[in-house]
Amino acid sequence: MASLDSEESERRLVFDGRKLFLGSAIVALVGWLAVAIGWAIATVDTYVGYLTAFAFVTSIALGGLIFLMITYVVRARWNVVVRRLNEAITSVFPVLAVLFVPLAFGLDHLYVWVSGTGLSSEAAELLEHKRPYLNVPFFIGRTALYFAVWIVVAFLLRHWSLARDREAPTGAAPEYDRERTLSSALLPIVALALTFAAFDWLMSLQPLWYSTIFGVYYFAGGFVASLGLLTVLAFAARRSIPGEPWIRPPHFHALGRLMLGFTVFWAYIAFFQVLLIQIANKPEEVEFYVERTRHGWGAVAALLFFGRFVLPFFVLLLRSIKFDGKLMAIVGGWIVVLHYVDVFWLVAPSHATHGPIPNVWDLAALAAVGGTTVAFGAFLLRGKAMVPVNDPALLQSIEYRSPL
Amino acid sequence: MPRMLLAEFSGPTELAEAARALREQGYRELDAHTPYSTEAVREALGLPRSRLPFAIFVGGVVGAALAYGLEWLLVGYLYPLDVGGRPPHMPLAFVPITFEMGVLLASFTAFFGVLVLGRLVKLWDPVFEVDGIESASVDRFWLRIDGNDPRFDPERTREELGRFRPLRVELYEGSPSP
Repeated sequence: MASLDSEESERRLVFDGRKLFLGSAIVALVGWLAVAIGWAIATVDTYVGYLTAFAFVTSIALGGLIFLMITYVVRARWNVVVRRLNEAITSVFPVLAVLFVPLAFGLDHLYVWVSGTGLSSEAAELLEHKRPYLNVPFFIGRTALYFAVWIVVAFLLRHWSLARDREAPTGAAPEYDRERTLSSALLPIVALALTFAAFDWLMSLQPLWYSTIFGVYYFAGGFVASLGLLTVLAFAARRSIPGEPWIRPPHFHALGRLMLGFTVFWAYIAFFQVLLIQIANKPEEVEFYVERTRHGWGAVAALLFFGRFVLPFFVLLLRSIKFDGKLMAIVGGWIVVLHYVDVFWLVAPSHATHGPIPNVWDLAALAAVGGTTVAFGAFLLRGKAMVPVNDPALLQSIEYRSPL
Repeated sequence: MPRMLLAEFSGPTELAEAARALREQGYRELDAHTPYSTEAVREALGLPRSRLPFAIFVGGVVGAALAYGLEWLLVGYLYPLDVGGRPPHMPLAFVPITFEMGVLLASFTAFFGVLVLGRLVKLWDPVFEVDGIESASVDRFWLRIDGNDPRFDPERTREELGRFRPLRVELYEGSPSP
């Protein structure tokens, strides 16, 4: 096993983010230019694409945050080698809060409860009853509150973890008392903020439609996608650490098992939402699925069913595949891509003009939001170790073995 | 007439050490009788992975397919049922039964598969005739070397086993039918 305290191994563990930062900054720059053009000539389409990209990236960061908190609550040890990468995913909330600002200026292009256009008189009256909740100042205030919670939690967990890098290793058994207390206390709050964020940003696109499980659906998708992204990062980090790998096949096996479990969870939530709505068959509820299965959107729904559930499920069932970091990174990347399709399927059909294929403004917004976020994350991680080098549980984590 | 040598050890580590060394010497027909399963022993014996998961998968797929087929046959084809104007063949509504039958048959395969592959409900086995083997279900760990083993030789094997300080070594030479 690699020796943990040699200077040589510490030096090569340091993340040199220049390439990633430059690459994603260029992507972001091109994206922002295209978004600016789109904003001038196709305002609504650009906002729809921007909301899609924003909700997609934020859900992955949220999935990563909840995963990080859960590992502290359950005193997990196996994940210590990938914890810094997990923290890299959760470090981007400040930039996401900034990225929300353009949305705040386009609410009337996105939400009929702001613009009021095309509403029947009955719908307009029903919306009046929702006005105390669905109004612009409260909407923006709530989003600010959600981000305040997420930023504080993500910052503290990462801050404590980075502080440990600089301390001399004590050799004492790890306790993580403050991390566990914070995570246990705030996990419900973070989860509620996520649920309400899903209600606000996505569900209120059809202000008269509601599904109480919607927040869980948004969480489930983001959680699998964040595990997928973590697997991709773990594979990339493993390749850039020469010598004895610290991130070993059992870690990919563990990530793969979680991806399998939460792929099933996502499918379970998606299935019961559609089954219950289909059984009840109430006009105000089926509207959501009617919009998302006609005009070619049915093909996207089918792609989600087969690409996001059937294929990953059967691939991840195979034990030997889960030990292979490269294959797991491919599966993880695939899940991230399909998660974008999922969020796209949630957002875009609410605007009747949008077809089932992402247009150039969707891609521009994705490049802008995604590129900015990745650049920000890479910038924060530069010069830091990719593995929490002084963590007392690191050795235990490196030697993690899969259960038989 | 089955022949075998059995060595009693006080713990799984001692047994695993002996098993690993004997395998390195070329012994192939090794088995263990232990009060509980341990990873060290399984690894030392070099046991292949169980085929049970595959059987369970097949059981689950067959169960799910049968359930879906039955639902389609009954409410979709033979006796079409109109529920609120929905088509008789309504895949969404078929999923819960399909899932549960899949789980049921997978569980049955797992339960009975363990019994069959573990050769359970076998009332007598030659190993029961060995003196002191009862301790394998209390707190002792027994290593068994089968007489079919290419390197098996009662005297030499007993000597080679002795190096690992077993609590005792028993030779079983077969017995008249019980």
